[in-house]
Amino acid sequence: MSPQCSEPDLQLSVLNVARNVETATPEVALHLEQCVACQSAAERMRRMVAVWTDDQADDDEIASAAVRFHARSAPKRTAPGWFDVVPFASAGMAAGYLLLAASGTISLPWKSRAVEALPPAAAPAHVAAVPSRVATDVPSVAPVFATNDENVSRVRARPHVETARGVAPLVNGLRLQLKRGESARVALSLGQESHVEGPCLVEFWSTPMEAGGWRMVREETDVSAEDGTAQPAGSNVATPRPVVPPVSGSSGSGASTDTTSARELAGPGATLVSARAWSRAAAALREDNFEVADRAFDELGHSSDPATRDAARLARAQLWISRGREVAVRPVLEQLAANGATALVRQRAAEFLNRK
Amino acid sequence: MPPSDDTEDRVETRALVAGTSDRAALREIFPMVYRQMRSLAGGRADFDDLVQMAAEQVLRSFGSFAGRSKLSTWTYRICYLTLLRHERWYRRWLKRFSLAEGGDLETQAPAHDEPTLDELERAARLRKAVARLSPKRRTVVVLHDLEGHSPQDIAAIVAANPLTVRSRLRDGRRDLARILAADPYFGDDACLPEENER
Repeated sequence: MSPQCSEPDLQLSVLNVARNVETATPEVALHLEQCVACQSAAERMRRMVAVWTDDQADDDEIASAAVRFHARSAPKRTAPGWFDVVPFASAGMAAGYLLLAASGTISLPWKSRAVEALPPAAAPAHVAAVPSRVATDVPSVAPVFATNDENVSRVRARPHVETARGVAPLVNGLRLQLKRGESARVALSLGQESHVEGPCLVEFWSTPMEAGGWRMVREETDVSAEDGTAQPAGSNVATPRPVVPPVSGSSGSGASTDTTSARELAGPGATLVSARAWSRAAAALREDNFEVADRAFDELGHSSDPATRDAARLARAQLWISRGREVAVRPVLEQLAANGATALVRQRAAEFLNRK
Repeated sequence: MPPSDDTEDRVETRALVAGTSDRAALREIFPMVYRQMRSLAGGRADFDDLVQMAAEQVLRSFGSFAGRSKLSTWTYRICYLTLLRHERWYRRWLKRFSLAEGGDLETQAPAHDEPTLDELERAARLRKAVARLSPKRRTVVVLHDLEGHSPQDIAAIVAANPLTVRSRLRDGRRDLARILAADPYFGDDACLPEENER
């Protein structure tokens, strides 16, 4: 039970003193000396201020935020035009269409296309079992490649993806499968570009949260040489997969970060969102991209699933160890070794502690 | 942190309003707006959206800024109103959906400062706890306890009586202490005097 102060008004003054906005009167000083609750509250205040002050935005963070701000501040029209109604009309049409589809009056064309594009077996087993808004709200759409020169130039004028098969406009839920040796160039309206190498499945989602208005989700696939069918790597969790190469500098410390085993530590509670974060982390580790991997692990470290959260924290600790930051992660390892969500996490954390 | 010299701040503000283009003004002001919004709403998944809305609002209203208050107070007020408006909209919007998974803003370690993982987690936990306070209490607690503003400044930012500010501060502190009660660093046990002496 936490201690309670019998004089809340005095505690306000005590906290102001702790915050250095007031000087302690003799009455406050005497009270602070006697009251455990106020001593605890004052200590909490000092800690909060110290942590808050250390956690301020630095110049790099602000500079990148400014870039994002300018990228998203597209010039706006001030005069309304007749075409302002187009989005509302489109939304109305789409709603009517979905209503008819829901009532069984018409069938949705993408159902058959999605089935052709991705056989049921290709869906990750652990992902399919978990309901997800991303997986169910918007159906996956197969790319429609432009056929003639006029269409190609029209498609290239807007956000699009370009492969050896042709140029296709980005649409919400677009799913593109790239085989080994195939690559795709993704171009957004602000001149941003990125390249994707197969074998993989790539999905595009329209989102105002990302610069450029699109989010790309990439999933590694294992390609069978015989029939050329692709399966997301995450679909085969039980099958041994090649261990992710250790990040540079890891040989000295003996710690490598293996996202496959980390995912196994996380157990079956992982959602599609966390599965994608694991994939991102794995890809980043392969490319020796510390920042992206660290961000992915950090994201997973905030998961509501305790097993996922602690597995990610352990993986992040390993990543930091591989960068020679053993001292910085020791408290986390100690905490995981004592209170990790699963026995395996506790055991691994203890092993890392003993290794040093 | 609030500027130390009011007069100087107001003179600089007038010069800024009189002599710079919108774009240049924004370049000067954006870091301040970003820091202020980060104080009020850092750690949220929609943080970038909030910065965007607040900075655009500052840019739109900049010509009408009369310099009667400090520039930082004026921008803080815009950030505060943007946050309140957004939270109201979000609550209405949220009633129609159920979220599959809560989102937290990613925290990234600045390379040159090299804070420990423990420090990063502490800061993330503190931001998460602060985010659980109601917007009005959160604003007062952050501005007073964590940013060091005076109750008078805060009263101007939130357009409320200083007594109301004090009352929100008292309630906000109480709520925050309750939220952090079990925290391994900010919690009651961790902050007890005997614990510190060990």
